[in-house]
Amino acid sequence: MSISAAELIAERLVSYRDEVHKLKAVLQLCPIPVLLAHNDGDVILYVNPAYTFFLGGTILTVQDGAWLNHWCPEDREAIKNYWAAVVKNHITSSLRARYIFPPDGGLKNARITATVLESNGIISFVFPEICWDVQLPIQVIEAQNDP
Amino acid sequence: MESLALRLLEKFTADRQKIERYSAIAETCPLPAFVSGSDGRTILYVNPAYTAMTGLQLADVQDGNWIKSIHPDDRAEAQASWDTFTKTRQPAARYHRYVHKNGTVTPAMRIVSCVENNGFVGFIIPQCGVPTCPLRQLNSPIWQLAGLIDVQPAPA
Repeated sequence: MSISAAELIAERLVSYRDEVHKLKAVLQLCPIPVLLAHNDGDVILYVNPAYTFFLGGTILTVQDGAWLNHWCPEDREAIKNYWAAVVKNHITSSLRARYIFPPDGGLKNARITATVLESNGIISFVFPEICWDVQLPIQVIEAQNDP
Repeated sequence: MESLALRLLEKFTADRQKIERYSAIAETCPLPAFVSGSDGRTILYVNPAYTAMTGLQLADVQDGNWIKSIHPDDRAEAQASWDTFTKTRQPAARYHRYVHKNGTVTPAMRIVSCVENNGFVGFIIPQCGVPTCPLRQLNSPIWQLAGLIDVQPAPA
């Protein structure tokens, strides 16, 4: 590889760094929980601080399906089925369920939405109940197993 | 030199994957979002939800033209609060009525925070100005999360 190619890559890296910084700031400060999974649905690639705030999970504690533990035990089966359907059928849909709010351990209502990316991965947003009156510009389909 | 080039290439690939990942999330985020440079006038990014709510693309909001997305009666306060925010760099929330190019008015709460590289990130929470919106509660966890210390109650 020539020196000029290395220089070209170095230049591109600088612009990439700026782009990463800008987009990461959006995710870090997004006030609603965000989770990004690999398209197999098992490996979690990213959770934002809002996710940790509302659900208590970090990128280390949500792997291999452990993110289910942050949800009400009675709702976990429905969530598991919902997630499996998203992974299998590549559908965008939503599900209502109860999460365990870390500060007091109480159950709180939330709406989960999941979207499969064309490139690779699954994005999930969690809307705590306090957000439900916000008319968000999204189109969602209620899951059949919505409790 | 070749090993350096290979390391750069590896870094290049990793950063590109990060961009794709982060970009996909920001583009999918249902909340309107924007990123501003440290001067407060250069807008670096608006997501599709922002464009959907205001009708404005990134090119339309440069040099302070984002103010066109605000209801004329709210523009003076919106500009003043933005100027104050960019000077004090303290997270803030302000209620404004946003106007789409097609005339649709959306009451919303704009929350803004500073980022490490001296720029600013803002989110606009639609319908947050309506009396029934629970996000208006000042003790909402969302405000706690954003570390907001200067929350302006929406008008009744």
